[in-house]
Amino acid sequence: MSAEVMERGVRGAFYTLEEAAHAVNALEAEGFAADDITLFSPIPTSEIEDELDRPPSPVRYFTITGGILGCITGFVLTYWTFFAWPLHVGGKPLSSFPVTVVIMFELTVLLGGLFSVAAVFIFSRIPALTIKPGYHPRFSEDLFGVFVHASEDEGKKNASQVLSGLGAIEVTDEAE
Amino acid sequence: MTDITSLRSGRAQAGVFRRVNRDVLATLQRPGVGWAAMMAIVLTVLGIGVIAEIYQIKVGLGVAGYVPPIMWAVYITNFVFWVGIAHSGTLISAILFLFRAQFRTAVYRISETMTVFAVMTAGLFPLIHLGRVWYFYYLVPYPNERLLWPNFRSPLVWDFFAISTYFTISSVFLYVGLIPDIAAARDRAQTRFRQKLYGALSLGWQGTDSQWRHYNRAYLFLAGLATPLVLSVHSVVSWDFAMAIVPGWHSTIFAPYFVAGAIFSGVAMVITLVVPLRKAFRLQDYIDEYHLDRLAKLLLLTSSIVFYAYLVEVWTAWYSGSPYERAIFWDRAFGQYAWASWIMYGCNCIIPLVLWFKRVRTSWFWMFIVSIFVNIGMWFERFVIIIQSLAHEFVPYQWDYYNPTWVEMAITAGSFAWFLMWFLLFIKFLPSMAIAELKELLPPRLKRQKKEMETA
Repeated sequence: MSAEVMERGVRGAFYTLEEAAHAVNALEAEGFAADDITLFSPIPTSEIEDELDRPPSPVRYFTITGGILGCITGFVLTYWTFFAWPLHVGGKPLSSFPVTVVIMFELTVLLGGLFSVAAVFIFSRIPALTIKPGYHPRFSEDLFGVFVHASEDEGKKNASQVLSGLGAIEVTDEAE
Repeated sequence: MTDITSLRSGRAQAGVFRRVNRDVLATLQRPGVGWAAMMAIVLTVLGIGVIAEIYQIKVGLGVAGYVPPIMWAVYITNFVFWVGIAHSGTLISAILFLFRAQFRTAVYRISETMTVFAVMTAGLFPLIHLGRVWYFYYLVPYPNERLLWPNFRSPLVWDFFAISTYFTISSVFLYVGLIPDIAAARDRAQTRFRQKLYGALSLGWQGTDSQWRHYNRAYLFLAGLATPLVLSVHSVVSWDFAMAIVPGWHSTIFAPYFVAGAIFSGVAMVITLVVPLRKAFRLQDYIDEYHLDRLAKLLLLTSSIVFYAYLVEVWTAWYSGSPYERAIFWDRAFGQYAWASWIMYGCNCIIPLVLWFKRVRTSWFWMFIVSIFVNIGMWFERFVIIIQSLAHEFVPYQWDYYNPTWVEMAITAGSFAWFLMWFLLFIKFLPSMAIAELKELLPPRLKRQKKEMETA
């Protein structure tokens, strides 16, 4: 979809998440592609996921990868150091596993956490320099929004009808 | 869907949501005289602390009151104290999030902020204690030209890893939580400077379904990772002591004892900060007696654990039959540092007993007073553990008495000022309450108001 087309569409504002999610599902039933519909919410409710029937977030793969990588790094770093900088103490073995556990644990948490945040940035497409079309400042305040990308007049009309029929308190044509 | 009841309910919800935005963002308005006066005091004290530190760097560690064998003293006390303060922030933001404790929503941002700034304060003390601060990088494992590597058998190196991980993860956790609220601030920013600042910090957040989906999942994972981390960090700090054979330090209960103590002091600090903040920003509808009561109960629980740990320590010393262990605890109660020990026992075990009374738990004034006593008591706990134990080691010939010097006291006061400076800046530039989450889980008073609006 070209950038020009992406900028056009219809926006509906709702009082509640249930209404907004219902509108999204209805629009999908009308034949609009899921990628063309965006829901804006001022609250982090996990119901969004259930209501919209979206697949689970892939962030978890990043978390586990970071965690495993951190754990391995902790082990390699400590064991490598034991032999690269040998400290002979009373004939004891150079390596000692219990002390590596602390470092492995800390690095597991560190890389697991950083990878998770990196995943949010990647999948949420932030940092973004521009605000996406369809957004309204009230969507971070009191209203829930639904934006449908539609360039054709017929699509817009159809989307407007669905949105206002499902309780949108305001439907605007984002033509510019 | 569009019947009159749901419309009314939707309008009421939107009204309450608008109020949350308005009230929380009102805290970011131009600072008043009170704030400026506080900042002036804080900067003055910080200045004195900085001068003391410069003097110490110039002259050397001799200006601190160290006398062998007491070579760890007030600086390490401050380090452990500030790491401890940091702990309840993560407890409230991560552990209580996993437990779905609703009261956390109103106070978790303040606690998380406290965590980050407390770790920033704590992190200064190993450097200050080092004397020659420029050798700090010896702790960092990197391929250097001397082919030297840190000794991973030393708990001090574990501490370096634990504290730096804790600082990184708690900062990231704080920032991730802030993004949607900074976006709300961006959408309502009045001045150009604020528009630019919040525009950059919010990273273009719009709260789309896709963003929330990934955000919620990552937040959950971060909370899950931060939970064992918070328990590990103070355990590692406790091992700085417990791994040594010094009587009074060498104990297996140190890790849980330190973790409970850390949460105890941290909750007290949250109360100390929340009480004036609530009044200054008129947040009475958001933080009420319900929240105070829960925090007080957390304080009472951790006080009981700390009390129990004190008793176990004494019992273990007696039961061990070790003359050194017995001597150190006898000296702790009746020796040259008895004054500090009894401040510690009084503030941490006796005074918190008033929290059994609901009237105290729901009184802002008395909770503030109790929290101050707990802060003092917990500072002295670290003072006693570190200094009294070192002053009374194995050989009587070595025993000595340590007095802090003006340099150490000035740096200690400066550390409180450093912490408060960041806190004062934070409350004026970033939302000190989680706007988005407050809307999801409305505090009791707002819930009642929403119901009234629905029926009106």
